[in-house]
Amino acid sequence: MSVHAIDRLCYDIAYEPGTLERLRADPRRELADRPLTADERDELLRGDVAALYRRGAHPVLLVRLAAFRVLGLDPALYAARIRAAEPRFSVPAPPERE
Amino acid sequence: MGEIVAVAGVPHTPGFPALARTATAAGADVAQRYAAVDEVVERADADVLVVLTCDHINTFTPDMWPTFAIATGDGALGPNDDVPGVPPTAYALDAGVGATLHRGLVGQDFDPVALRGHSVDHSVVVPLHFLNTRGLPVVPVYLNGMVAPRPSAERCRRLGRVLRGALEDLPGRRIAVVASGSFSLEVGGPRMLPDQLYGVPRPGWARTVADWLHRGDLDGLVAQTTERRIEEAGTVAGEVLPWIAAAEMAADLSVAHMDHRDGEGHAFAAWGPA
Repeated sequence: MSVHAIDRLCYDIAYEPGTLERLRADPRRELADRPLTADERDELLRGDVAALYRRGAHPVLLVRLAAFRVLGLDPALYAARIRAAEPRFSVPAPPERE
Repeated sequence: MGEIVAVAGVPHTPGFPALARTATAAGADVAQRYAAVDEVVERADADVLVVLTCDHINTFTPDMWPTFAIATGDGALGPNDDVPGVPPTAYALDAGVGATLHRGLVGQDFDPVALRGHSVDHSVVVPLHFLNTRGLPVVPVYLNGMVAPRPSAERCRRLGRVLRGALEDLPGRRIAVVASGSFSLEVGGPRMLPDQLYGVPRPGWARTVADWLHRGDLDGLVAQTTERRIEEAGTVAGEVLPWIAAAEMAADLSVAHMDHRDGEGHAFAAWGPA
């Protein structure tokens, strides 16, 4: 369920009153109040969006960290970091196309 | 008997409304591309717009995510996300048409969420900005193209068929349908361009989709639109699914306009009176 907590944080930045301000003012405290693992909190605090993506965070939500410029991210830095990840697929390629 | 008088398909890039207002070649170009579609819709003289689209986890949440949903209320606020140049707007919805479609879908074994109150994101707002200057009442219909597992292309085609049948039961109504979205588009994922927050991972797939739609080969499009192919085409490439439903709803119309450019992940298209 932890990936859900990452997704929920990214959603709340835009839609849950106070989340954006709290995250900007004291990110450690805001993340401590959410059901995240220690590794996930560390990746969020470092703005390691490639690691968060590899865990299964939804990219349409994850990119909001850059759009709202939180956790040290901006659009250019986000793009540079996410491009280091391998694309993720929910289903395997059919054998004839591998 | 109700009649589907026009079907359109357009992208919903949030920056397009502001771009279209600028005195630039790019602004004039994008405005002209939407206007060419709108000409077909306007000629059809519709009295309601049914918008088939995919929410981007704005209207729905990471906690609650429907495969299908339909607006049955009489109004919606939008945009609930960032669409530069479009102020907060109260959109009039056609609750009667929404309720009829909801009943028709449930009667044919679809189980959409009924939205008696909701807000709309750029995927509804941008098409309406360009294609609904006449202020027609609207009925948003949502298909999950965003979060795996997505509904199959065949199921989305059947959704379009059921919607068409339900609309035909509406006495005297003239319905325009708008599909909203792209065929290949990466938002937030690793295949973004270095200097942008998007990318077009499979422009060849987008070209192929546009060709199938232009030729009316919906069988070919549905057969090739697999979950894997959608994901290879980008994080939001499931937006092809509303196009498939809309193309099925256009079964009795002919292609009046198809505008796709090599390298792009989207198209501007219309079916209806030539």
